Amino acid sequence: MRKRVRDDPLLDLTPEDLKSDAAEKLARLEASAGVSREEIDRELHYLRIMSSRKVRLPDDAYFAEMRQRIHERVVIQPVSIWSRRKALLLPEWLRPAPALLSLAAVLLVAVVLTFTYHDHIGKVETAIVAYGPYTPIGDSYTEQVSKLHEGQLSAEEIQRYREILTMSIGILGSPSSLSRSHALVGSGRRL
Amino acid sequence: MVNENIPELVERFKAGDEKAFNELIRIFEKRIYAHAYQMLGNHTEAGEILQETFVRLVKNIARLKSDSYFPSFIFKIATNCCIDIIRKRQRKYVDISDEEFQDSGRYQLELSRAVPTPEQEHEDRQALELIKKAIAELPRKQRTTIILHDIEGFSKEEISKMLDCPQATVRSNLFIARSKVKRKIGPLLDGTVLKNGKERK
Repeated sequence: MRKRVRDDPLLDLTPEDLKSDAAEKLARLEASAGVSREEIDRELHYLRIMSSRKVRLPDDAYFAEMRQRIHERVVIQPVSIWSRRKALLLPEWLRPAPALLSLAAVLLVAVVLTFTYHDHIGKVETAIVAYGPYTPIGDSYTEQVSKLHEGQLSAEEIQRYREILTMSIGILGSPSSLSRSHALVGSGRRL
Repeated sequence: MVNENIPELVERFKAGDEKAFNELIRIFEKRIYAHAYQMLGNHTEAGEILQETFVRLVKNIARLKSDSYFPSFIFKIATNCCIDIIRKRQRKYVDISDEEFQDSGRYQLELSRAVPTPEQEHEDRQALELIKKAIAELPRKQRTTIILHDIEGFSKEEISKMLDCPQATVRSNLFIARSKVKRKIGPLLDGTVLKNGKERK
């Protein structure tokens, strides 16, 4: 049924066949497709009625107004070769792809450079391997303070220790969390 | 279907020539409007489609593969705009009253007749109503196909590209649509028209 519908030879008739130079096509249709002249004429009559465009159109002032509105909404710019290629090659849903690809490329370069700098390409180390086991700041502080008490720190180490302490206070806001600072307080020195 | 000047105008339009764009609007505005009116059934939305089609044309002109495909390209845009409206408003066909439009005196007469007699105008009006009603009752795909093929004169190949469907589908939609429309516009096909509420031969 479907095939018969699709193969109906009268479907080959178009409004173009209403012109006088279509006589040859009509004769061919009549001869080869087994359609009578009457059927063809009836179909052409139908096409004549349909294609006569019986739509009542607004007047010219209306269209002038429409043109003005269109111009208010668009800016005519030359179409570059790049945008033409992009439009032809990329479907609409892939249009944001170049921007995303650029972002991905930048991130990739950043990651690669970071690993290259640390010579870690191909052997990503865990934090424990890279920086040693985690030690709470209080423990390391205690260790420094006890060494200070015992006079085991050199002048240079004491200086560095004070810098670290200053920085810790700056970050944490108070040395109280690093309660081991009593050693310094006891020494009578001010940071 | 291709006007000799169109590829040249399209080329100039792509180069940023605003005059060429204006000329293209002038060439296609009435056909696009009529197409939108046939698709949607009212003048208010046909005007919106006319604007939207040319706005989308400017945005998408880079996608036009060959300048000679311009007519089917712009009709594809117009058809998609119409389909968007149909989908958006979740309706098959709504006839927003055209009374206000028709009474405003902003209408010009049927294209094919410059100066019709009152009788011809009455017949035109009757024919217009019959065709409009027949087309309006078709499902969206059949309506689009019959308008593009039998009214606008596009080939089945062009329509299949516009609607992204096989040519066989276009043919079967066209067959069904024609059968339905022929039944509806019987008086016109038989050579009878409605006059003062009565049929005459």
